[in-house]
Amino acid sequence: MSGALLEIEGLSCRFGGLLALDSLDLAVEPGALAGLIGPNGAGKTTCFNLITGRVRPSGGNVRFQGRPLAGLRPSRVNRLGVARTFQNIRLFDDLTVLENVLVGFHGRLKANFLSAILRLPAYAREDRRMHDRGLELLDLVGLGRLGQERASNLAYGQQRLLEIARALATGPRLLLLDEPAAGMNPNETAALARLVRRLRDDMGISVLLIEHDMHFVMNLCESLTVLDHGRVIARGAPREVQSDPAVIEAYLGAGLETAPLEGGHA
Amino acid sequence: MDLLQQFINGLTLGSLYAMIAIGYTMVYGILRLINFAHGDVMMVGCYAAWFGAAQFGLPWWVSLPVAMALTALLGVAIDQGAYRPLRRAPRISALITAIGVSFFLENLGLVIFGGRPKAFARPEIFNQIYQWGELRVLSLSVWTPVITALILAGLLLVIYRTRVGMAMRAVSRDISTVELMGVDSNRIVALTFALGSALAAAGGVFWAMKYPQLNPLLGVLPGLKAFVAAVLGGIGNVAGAMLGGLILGLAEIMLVALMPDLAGYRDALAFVLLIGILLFRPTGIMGEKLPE
Repeated sequence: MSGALLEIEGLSCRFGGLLALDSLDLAVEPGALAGLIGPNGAGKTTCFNLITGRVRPSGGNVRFQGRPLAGLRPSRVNRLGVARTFQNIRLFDDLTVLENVLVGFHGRLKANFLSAILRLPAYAREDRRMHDRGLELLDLVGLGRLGQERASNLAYGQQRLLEIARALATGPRLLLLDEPAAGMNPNETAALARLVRRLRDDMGISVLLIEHDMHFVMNLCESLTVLDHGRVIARGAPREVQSDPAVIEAYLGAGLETAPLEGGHA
Repeated sequence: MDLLQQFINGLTLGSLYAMIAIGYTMVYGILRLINFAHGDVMMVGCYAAWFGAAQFGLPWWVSLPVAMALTALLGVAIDQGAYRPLRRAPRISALITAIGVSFFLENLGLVIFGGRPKAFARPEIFNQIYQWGELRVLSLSVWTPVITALILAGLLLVIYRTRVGMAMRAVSRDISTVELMGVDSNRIVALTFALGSALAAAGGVFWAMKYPQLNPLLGVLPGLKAFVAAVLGGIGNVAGAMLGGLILGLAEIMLVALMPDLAGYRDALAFVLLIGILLFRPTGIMGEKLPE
């Protein structure tokens, strides 16, 4: 096979009578900044749920670094190097900001329960390292000062950033961002775009993101896949996709109040 | 003087309820499952300690931890065998299964241990009378709250000061998201059952010292009352379970002490409290708001 990081072939998902995803083919190359767009209900989040093992596909397969992900538990998929954020924020509200990130480290740690109780030196060392690394990640996303705050006290945009930090803590090679800019103001969105680019450029993490903010998508992503009713209707570079008649039809025909593709020129 | 004595008795009984209630509340917090077999798990803990002490002649400070460890294993086995296969099934299926596990353990107890009550010998240290002025208290009544407090402090330390505890708190918020963060939630659930069952065994051993007659159904009533205590404190909340246990224990003893005419209604009190709490504050004293 090719050297793609993530390869999706003929992936389908049926919920009762609804074909949420209809034999999707998609490849994400190492170092890609790829976007998955489409009207509401097009199957974008379903696609993320299938990749991460939350939902079982009705057909098709997903390979990550050549390894099939079919039937793996979500925690196993994550440990292979796929992390995600959520469209509707799913932080651990009761935990502090830092603790939310530390949960992301948990799956990779060696120390077990017994050494935690006994406070063995190896445990303390690992604890220290994890703590420092967690603070670094918070700094990276711009939440460095808020580590001891309860996650539920963060502003909406900050919660989205915390989700990214938590996902990064699991050490991903591929990051799936589900509407990371939703609810952010233009300044926050611009900062988010810079952050995502840094993740790719400095940390070598490939990114596949779902987003409705077309300005953000057009400026950030290097390749786009457009879904409508579970099918791919266009793919390619942002400029090509933008002028594709099928895409314009899908968006305008879907009854959205404004043409969302305008933003790309700004 | 008399009242102080009763207060100590109430504290003792309340400590026992608290230790058992925590197992209910921890499992509920993570799986939204009322583990109705929990009282019977406690019963097995009692017998384990009895075997250690009476059959193998172990001192109590050895047979207690051994009983806790064995009961922890039992708790994990129950989860793996009975509840895990139903993780994705409707919640009512797991609830009914819990009742089934409860009957299973009771009847297995009858088969293995027999219906004849076994005498649980009280260790010497718990069988003395402490006397301060006019106050005369059985040493067991003094030590039970102390040892309970130590065990519960240890539990809180695990929950709030270790990574595993952090993972447990995260799992109780949102189990599927924790999975997506690479944490194997089954391990966390197993640990929860282990801790809850170990505490039930500890509570059970002190229960057996207080009421030193073992029979395979001995877990039923304390189990139900501890469940009431957990609901009273706010099920899902560990500190609430401790508080609920203490309140229930004190209320029971004070009912008997202050209104001896009503002493026969002692066991009914817990269930009257349950009805009251469900009517007026269904989420309990320290419970969180109900989700939509």
